Amino acid sequence: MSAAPTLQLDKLAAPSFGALSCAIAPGEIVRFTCAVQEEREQLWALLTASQLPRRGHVQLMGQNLFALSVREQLALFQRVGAVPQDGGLVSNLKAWENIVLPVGYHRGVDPSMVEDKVVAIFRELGLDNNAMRGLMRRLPDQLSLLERRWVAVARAMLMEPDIMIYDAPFTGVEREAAARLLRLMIAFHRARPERVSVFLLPDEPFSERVPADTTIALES
Amino acid sequence: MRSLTNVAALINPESLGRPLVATFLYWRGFLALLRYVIAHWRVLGLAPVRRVFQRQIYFTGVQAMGAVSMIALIAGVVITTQITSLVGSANPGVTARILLWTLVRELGPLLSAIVIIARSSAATASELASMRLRGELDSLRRLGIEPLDYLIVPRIVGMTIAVVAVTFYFQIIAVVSGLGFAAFVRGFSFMRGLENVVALLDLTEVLVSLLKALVFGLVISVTSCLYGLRVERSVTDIPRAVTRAVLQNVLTLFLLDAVITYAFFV
Repeated sequence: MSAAPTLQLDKLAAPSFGALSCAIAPGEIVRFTCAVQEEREQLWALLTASQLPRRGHVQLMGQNLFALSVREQLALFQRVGAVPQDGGLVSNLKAWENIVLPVGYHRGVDPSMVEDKVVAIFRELGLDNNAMRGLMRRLPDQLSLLERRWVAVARAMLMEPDIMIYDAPFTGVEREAAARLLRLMIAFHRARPERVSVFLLPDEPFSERVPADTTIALES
Repeated sequence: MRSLTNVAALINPESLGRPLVATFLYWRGFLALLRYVIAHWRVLGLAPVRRVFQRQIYFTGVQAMGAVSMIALIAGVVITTQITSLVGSANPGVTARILLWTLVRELGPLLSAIVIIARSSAATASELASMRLRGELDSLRRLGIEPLDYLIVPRIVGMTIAVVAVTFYFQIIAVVSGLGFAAFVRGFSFMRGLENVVALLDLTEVLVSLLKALVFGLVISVTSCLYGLRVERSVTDIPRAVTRAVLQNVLTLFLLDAVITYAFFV
């Protein structure tokens, strides 16, 4: 008997695409390629429940996302690592404070307890101690797009989520940095066999390098 | 003909209705937010929320001390100068009574609140408004964090406590500086003046003053957060939200000051 899907889209429709159906089993890497930016943005908004669909459902870890109350959605999102394209950081918190916000909030973890994990993540991304120290003290507005994404990725990974959703993580990033980021994401995915990784990607050459088990091309 | 048009404009249902609807929406939002804070104050037990709360106390209370000290000092000197020129320096009892009425009952809570409105109300409203426009409230939800719990509860509680503390501080500085100035310039007995103030200061006086500070603190914090959260989709909404928050705060403050003074001292 196969395991229940971690993510299931059932005839999901938004203004820019229609009737998208798929079932993502535990452990899979899935790549949604979107030729039009609007499609990707709307799929992201639907998967993170910031927009309601025209039709259809999103089943996330067995729960109908749009039938849940706000509090139930918040509880579910503790198991989801969502990494928006712009990082989605809190502007009045420094990079370090952004990284430790969810683990401190949900699990009461003292920031010093996760320091080693964060250092390991940023080492993978190619930063030395000095660069890391400088980065952690800065506010989001003082960070580059790539740095904001690094912070968002580290923040999501610290929560050890069951599913990671990345929104165009390699767009606008230099090739080598994108390759490092992808390596980190794949290593994190493989660290837990049931973890699902969802990549929402624009139609660009680097997207092909994501080693996906399933590729779904969105068509208007 | 022209005056008829003016009268028509005055009784135009739209021009009458809009402020009424706005007032109704303001108080409905105000009470809803206040109810939320009362129901969820326990989130202050979470370390990240506590940090926001501490920052709010620091920003609204501690950082306002300089401005508050200066205004309290000047208010104390000005009021005492007026009193002593009215009743003379040989009448410490009357001086103490008027000092208490003006500085402790009225000016203390009111001027402290106005300083906080100028510093923190505008800052809070614009900060929340820009966070909302940048989609940071959605970002918090994606992290499983309710934005009202993380952003609003600690701000409202922190600001309210800060207003109470700042008011208390203002009153002490104003009374002491007023009496000190009178002693220095007019040969008034500082100790006798202070004894009279302490003797006249009964529990009702203190409690009503604290009640005013508490109510003003709640009004300023809830109103600032409310207008900050109400921005829609454009950057031009931010200055509008800030202006509305400040204006609404000042109006509500004077209205409630009058109501509380009337209820306890008339």
